[in-house]
Amino acid sequence: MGFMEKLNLAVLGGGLVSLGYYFSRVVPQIGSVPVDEIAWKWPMAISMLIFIILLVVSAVRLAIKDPAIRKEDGIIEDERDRMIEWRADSWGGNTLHMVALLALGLLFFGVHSFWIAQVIFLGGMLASLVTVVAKLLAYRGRL
Amino acid sequence: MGFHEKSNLAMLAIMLLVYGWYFVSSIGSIFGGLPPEAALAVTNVKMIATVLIVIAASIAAHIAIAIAAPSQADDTADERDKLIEMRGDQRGGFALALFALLAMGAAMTAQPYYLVANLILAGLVVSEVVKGISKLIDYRGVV
Repeated sequence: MGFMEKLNLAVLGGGLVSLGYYFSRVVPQIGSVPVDEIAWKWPMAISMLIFIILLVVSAVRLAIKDPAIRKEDGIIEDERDRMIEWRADSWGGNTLHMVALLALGLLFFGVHSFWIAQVIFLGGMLASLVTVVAKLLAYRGRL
Repeated sequence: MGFHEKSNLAMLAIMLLVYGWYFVSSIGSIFGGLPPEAALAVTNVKMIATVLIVIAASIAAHIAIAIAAPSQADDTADERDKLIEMRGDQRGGFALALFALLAMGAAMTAQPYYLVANLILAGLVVSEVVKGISKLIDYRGVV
């Protein structure tokens, strides 16, 4: 398994951990307290922070452990990496487009800002997930 | 210049003209002294109008392109077209992600709806413009 593939797995793991933290803090409040009183802003910010920290730590750890990275040109992507990256990012981008349109639609109907923020946040995570899963499948030759 | 390149140029011009008009004419409503409800109502109507204009203009443009060069009017994308499209989607997706973060920040800080809606719309437009420019550059020989 190459560096980029391992990094992808780390992104997937980090995303699931941060999302798990967010859900564990916010979901129990939904339905039990009024929407205006749901404490979601700090959990959302902390969840993003967890994701970034986990990603940086994983990338550094992988870079230290991977002997190829220590070589001068070890991190340079090859043509296959680049193709996989373009394709997966394009899928993620298209997912994000749909999320943005959905959020815009909800705004038209005056839906509460709590739900708008959830759609953008969870939609962004979904787009990242689509990107990562597409890359993983492509690396395994299933795409 | 092939069908896909002409189509891209037409879409880029339409997006720049229509949404250039939208944002220039809406600046007053977005940042001016209008009450949030009135600003939302004004921009909502304009948003719907711009979507209809873009659809009508793109249909007209594609018909015109097909009539001007019927032999090239083939929507089949070859390998190069697909690569250029993926690369454009990737770059456009990054631009949209940036605006999605801004919109989420606006929703988290309880900004008025019209501001959040316009940030999302700006993200969608900038993403399309970035994609169009990326494709324009790539068709000119970088890829």
